[in-house]
Amino acid sequence: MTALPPPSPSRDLRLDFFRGLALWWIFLNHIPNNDFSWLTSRNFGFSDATEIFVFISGYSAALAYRRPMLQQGFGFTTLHVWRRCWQLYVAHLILFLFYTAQIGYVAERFGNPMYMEEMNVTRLLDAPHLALLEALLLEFRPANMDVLPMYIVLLGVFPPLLWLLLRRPGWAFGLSAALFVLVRLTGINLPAYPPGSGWFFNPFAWQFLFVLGAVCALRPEVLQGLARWRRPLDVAAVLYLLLAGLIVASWQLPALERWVPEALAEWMYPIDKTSLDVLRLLHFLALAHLAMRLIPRHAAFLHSRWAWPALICGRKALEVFCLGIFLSFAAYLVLIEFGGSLGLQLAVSVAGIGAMVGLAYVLCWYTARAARMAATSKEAKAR
Amino acid sequence: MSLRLQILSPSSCRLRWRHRLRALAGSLLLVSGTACALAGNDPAAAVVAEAPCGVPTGLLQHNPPLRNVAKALNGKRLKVLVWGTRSTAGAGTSGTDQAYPAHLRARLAERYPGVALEVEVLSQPGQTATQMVRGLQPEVIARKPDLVVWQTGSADAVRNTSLQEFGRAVSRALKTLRGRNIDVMLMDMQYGPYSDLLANFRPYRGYLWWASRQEDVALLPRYQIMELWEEQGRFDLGTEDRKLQRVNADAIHACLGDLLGWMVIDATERAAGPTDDQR
Repeated sequence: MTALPPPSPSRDLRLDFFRGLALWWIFLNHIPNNDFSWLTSRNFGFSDATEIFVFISGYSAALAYRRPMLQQGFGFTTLHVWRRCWQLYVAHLILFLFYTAQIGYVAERFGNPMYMEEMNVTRLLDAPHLALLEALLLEFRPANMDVLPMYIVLLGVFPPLLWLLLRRPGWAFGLSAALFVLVRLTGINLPAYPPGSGWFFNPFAWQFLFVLGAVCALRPEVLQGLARWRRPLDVAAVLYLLLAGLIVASWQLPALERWVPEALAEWMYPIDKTSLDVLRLLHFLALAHLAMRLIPRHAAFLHSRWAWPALICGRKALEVFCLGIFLSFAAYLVLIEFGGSLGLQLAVSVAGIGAMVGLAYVLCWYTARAARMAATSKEAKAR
Repeated sequence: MSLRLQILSPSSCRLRWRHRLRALAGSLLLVSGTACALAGNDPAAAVVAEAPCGVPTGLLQHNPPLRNVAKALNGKRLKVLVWGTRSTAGAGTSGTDQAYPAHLRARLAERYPGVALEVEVLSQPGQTATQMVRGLQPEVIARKPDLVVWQTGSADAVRNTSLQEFGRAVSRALKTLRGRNIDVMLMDMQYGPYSDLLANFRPYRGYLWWASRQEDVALLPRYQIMELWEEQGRFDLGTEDRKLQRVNADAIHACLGDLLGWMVIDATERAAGPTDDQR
């Protein structure tokens, strides 16, 4: 812990903390049959870790690329952002490789035709060259591997958006909101394979949350403007979260389901994840509002040792995210091989989060060292 | 995301660990004891009946009356079309005569002797709901069935296609079929100990559940039922023994066919009976 440099005072530690938490939840949620995924936010309301991840990604992308955009100009910043996209793309392909290997292993080991034929896995194994082509085009995105492609697309078009956000924030926000409304009304989506279908996470809809994050980062005064509505907002957020909690609980407890009025159910369902249902968006905003109210920017908690593991995971988000996806595959294999007892589920969940924290620590340590080395060699050269 | 997760019989408060944890999640919002007590007091839940193969009837509670089937039976004929992907053709079983449609036919033939009974199978391997619905008119309606058993969702989940499109395709097809006076029953995906590796079924199952309520058609929750069987130890779904795999597949299809038959007969009798069930 001592090896890490102190964070710059301007950095909002809450970002790192909640992003780290979201990464843990994504890991837990991606292990099928893991009972501990019931501890994550998606079981208490409409939104889940994806919303947190996308919003904070927009927020931190705006913070990270604002200065290059202002100082180095549009061309440089675009290349800078695209270099990051390339890293994400490579990360996605490596994950795809692991995924394919895992499928191959399971098919070889169990190979029950009752599943293999029904699930069309034979297609992946019989014609891997086609699956590879689709994966390269981001069209083949197996389950749990669709957050990264969406993030790549969002980041890829971010430079012109940031340019506009810095000059005409109102226009940029208006455009983004208009596109969101258009998607909600028409359902337009990026194409996927097979022809005629769309992405699981519709980037045209999810961009709105990304832009919302960016606006909050670039125009904090907008949030301060809301401060005088603080009390009513608090009450509204709490009420909405309670209501959402009751609705979600009614999915588990049939006794509660009877209490959900039919007209409400008719209007509310299905709560759409593909195109970011407004109920989900509101749920996330309510959650974010209360989180910000409960944990102020300079809360002592954020500097405590309890927050530290999540904090460093959030700081190395891409690497930790990829490791998390890989680990969820691995954890699943362990559960298949050794039977999914509750103790084993606990063990793989804890071990996985431990590994994520471990990687984040090593990376933080390494980058801090590398930065110090670069600084000293520059000093030496200056002399 | 609208979804309905693993629910054992609502009257059962003897929950296994998984269910206990899930209940715990709910109980942070509500005292789950109250919920259990509520369920226990409910007259409908007090009937602890079992459908074939140890499936609690609570899982099959949503089973609206099949009026067109009842009408067809009055005319001493019935045509059922089982429309699905490869499992409908009996993937993994020892033959199509062991697949669930054959068992459904047997149950119906047994219950309705003297009826000109026709059970046709339309298997479209690897097709998503959207693709299947494209063939609705020429492939399904043109065959003039009285009842369509529609098994779908597997390919959509494996392909990870847009939930919105999936939901829209399902709802549109259900509406069209019901508009043509064709009864429908839905069937969702198979559960397997490693099928979650290949696809995330949760949201797609949620959409099927919602569509079945919205369009008022029955849904055979195959996924939940197979998961329950695995937990009961009725079948070893994770076995590596090829022979045992086939024996299991045959037995599972037999159970599914029996369950479907049970549901069809139950819903038909309620449609034909003097008092329509107000469920």
